[in-house]
Amino acid sequence: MPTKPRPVDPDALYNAILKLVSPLKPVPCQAVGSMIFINPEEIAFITAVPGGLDIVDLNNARWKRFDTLTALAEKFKDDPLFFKASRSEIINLRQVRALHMTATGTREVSFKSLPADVRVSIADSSYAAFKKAMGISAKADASLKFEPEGRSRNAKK
Amino acid sequence: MLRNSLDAGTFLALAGPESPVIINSGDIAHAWREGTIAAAALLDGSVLKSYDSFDDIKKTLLKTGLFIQIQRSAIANFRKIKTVSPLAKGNYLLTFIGQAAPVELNAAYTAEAKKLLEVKKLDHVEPFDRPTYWLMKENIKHYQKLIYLMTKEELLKNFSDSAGNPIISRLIANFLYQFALRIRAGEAEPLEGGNVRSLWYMIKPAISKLGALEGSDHYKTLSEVMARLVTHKIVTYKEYGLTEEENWIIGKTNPHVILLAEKRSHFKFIQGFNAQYGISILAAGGIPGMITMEFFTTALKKAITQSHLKEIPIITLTDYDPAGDLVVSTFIDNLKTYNVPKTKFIRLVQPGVFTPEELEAYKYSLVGENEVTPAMVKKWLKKTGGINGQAYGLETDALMITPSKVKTLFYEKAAPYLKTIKYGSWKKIDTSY
Repeated sequence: MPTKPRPVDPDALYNAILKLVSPLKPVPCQAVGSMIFINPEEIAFITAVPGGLDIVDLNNARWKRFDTLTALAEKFKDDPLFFKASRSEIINLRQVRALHMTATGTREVSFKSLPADVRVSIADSSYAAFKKAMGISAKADASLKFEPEGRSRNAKK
Repeated sequence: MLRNSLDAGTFLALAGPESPVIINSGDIAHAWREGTIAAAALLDGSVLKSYDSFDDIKKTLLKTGLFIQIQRSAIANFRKIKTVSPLAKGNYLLTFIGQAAPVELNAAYTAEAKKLLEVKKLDHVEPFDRPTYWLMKENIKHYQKLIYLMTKEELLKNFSDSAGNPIISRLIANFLYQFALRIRAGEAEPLEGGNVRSLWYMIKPAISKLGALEGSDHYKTLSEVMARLVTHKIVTYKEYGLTEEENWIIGKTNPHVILLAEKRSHFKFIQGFNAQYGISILAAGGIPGMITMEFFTTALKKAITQSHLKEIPIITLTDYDPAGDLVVSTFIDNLKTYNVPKTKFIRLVQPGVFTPEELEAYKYSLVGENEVTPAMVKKWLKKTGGINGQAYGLETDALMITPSKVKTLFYEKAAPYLKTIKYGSWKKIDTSY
């Protein structure tokens, strides 16, 4: 006897879709002579630079906005997978590939489709929330090993 | 792309090569009227015709909430727009993700586009930082290594086009910006009394490494790039420690009244007006350079009050010809660049101040003049009427033959703007020229 299909929990369905596609509209960025619209899920991270923000996409291209990071974080608040990693960076958790510990004890993340040495630091104050969001258990956290120097090309450097 | 499937909207049957093909509306970039039917440009770059009329297709697609009208007979999928670039007359060029051909957004339909794209302007992002935008436009980037110390290979790697040809203007722009940043950070010293040529000597060896010194006047390139960076408020002449000739004086009692002389040789003469009326004077020597404008306006703005800014009279002792007007219009434009926007152009040299005999004696033909093009003459003639409708001009010196007449005329024109009339004495200063 065929089983009766169970109704899908809308929240579960939303969360499943959310992991793949952002609920946000494409983000307008400034290019020379034009505005370019970047799909939020294609953003790897956003970093504060002199004069504004660089939005780094999955092709490692940088697009300019002139907001403050706090103002942009406010615009991105409807997408819980954009995570404020530090005072100067927001990361897209969908695109995080791995977590690393540098020789100096800084925790950094690398991204899917970006070169492995392109990394963003997670501030100590944000790390607990990051671990929770990414499902990093205490054991997984404890397994993080210090890397030799020179592995990272941190986005801020 | 997953996003395409999620905001699909609806299915449509369009005409395939052999039979109807079912298209997801999320895969359509834009569609337009073609005769009695519609044509749709798909994201993969292909174009398919419809079986139904354009109006029916338009109705179906607009109902999805993902399409907007972009022309009288064209609609576009706003979710698939990749870039928006301003064109002339308020129109915009839209490009799409994927391979679909770009299409124009007509000025009449921009309000809806702004609303759906959730942007305040289609020209640039908001908030907008103009200096940073110009840094992007000039291709100015951060370089760890001092540009003037780079090897030929490094220079070519950083400042050449896709064919490997050096782009000297880009090299110069980056050098100027890097040097300014280093001065601001205290890592380099300002030139202290140098001029633009001092900067040229710093970068000249790097340009030489690229073999680009011959054939082009790159000192001129540097001057132009520098003026551009200053105009866009990326750098200032002052921060480099540069000085200029200072053929100008800011008035003490009527600084808001500016007497602009075209010829540098008239500087001594116009100092008399500064001494007598406390007005500001500038003998440009042609079109005032940006360095002069920066120093002049900085000093001017310190001297004038907010109420003065309502209207700044620019009384000109310039030739009555297209080149003279170009000096004034450029001066006024550059004042705007430095936030002195409201000016009034009052010319001293004009046909009305001469007798018919004098006019006949002093006028000269603008036809064949080297300094101006026929188009400039035509435009100027339309604006001013020339002399009795003819393409003739007058040199400033036609008026300067009688200095007392200049003084009378000046007072006549300046009096309504002078806050304090009597300030000093003309006699105290030698104004012969």
